[in-house]
Amino acid sequence: MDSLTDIARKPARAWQLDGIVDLSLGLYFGAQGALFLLWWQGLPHPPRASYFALFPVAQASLSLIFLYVWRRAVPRWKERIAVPRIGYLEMRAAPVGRRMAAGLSVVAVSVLTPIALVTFGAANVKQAVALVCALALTLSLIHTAVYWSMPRYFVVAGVASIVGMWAYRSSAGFKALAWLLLWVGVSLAAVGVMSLIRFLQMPLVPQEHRS
Amino acid sequence: MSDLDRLVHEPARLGIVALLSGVKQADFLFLQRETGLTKGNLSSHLATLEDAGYVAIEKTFRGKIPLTLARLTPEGLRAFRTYKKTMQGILGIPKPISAT
Repeated sequence: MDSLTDIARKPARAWQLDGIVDLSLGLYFGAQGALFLLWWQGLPHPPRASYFALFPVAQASLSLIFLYVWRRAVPRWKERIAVPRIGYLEMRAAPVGRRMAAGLSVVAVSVLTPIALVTFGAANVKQAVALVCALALTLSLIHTAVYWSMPRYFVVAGVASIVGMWAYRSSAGFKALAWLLLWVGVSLAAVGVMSLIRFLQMPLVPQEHRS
Repeated sequence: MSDLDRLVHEPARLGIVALLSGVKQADFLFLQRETGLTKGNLSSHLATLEDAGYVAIEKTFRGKIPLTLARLTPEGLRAFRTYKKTMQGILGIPKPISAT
């Protein structure tokens, strides 16, 4: 039965083989981290409310641009790069309820985390927050690597755990979160590029002929 | 053992159904690449599954290239899940393993 489950997971693994999703998400996370660091760098003294409002606007704009490009570019890349090598496949979309729950939980975490940090943001909490995020990220990446048999995610998990430990030992505070995003993004994009290079060396499958 | 769906139990067809259970739809070339079956063999098994109402086949074009798409019907998905459950019962596997 294990092998049956394994066969059922094959399409998802084939879909991720080209590394395009890793590369795109890596660039997005890296850009988010870099944006946060840039924003932090320009933080005026004393801090101005308008400058604080700038970050969520920039972050939301970046996310919208990413989503726009993702929805248009990724299917085209897949069509040009993946389909000639592995054939055409369309993944099953998650049920609407599950997608809504995921979206709402992301929004809730994004809103509640800054509020909790501002409210309870003592020095030790600031220090631990990047470590906790890194730990959660590491565990989910290890789970992904094992569940989908994609060992490349072990590399990203390793990077996340190293940055998490550095964050805890350093005095970077919230800034460590940005470094975590940046390094996880860079490593994800790097494994994406390596997967893409390997994928491009795969032979093309012969196309169907007109009957 | 008599509860086993013989249509799904055949190894090549079981492979096709298991692969299709993980996707919305896949083309003939993907199935051929993953199953390692010859064109004729795959066509024959897909036709058997289509006749049973387990698989729906759609012939279309991607640009100028012919594209044969296969997807598991709700009946096919149900048959596959039932098959797994039955086999787990026979083999004495305690926890059901989800395919999707």
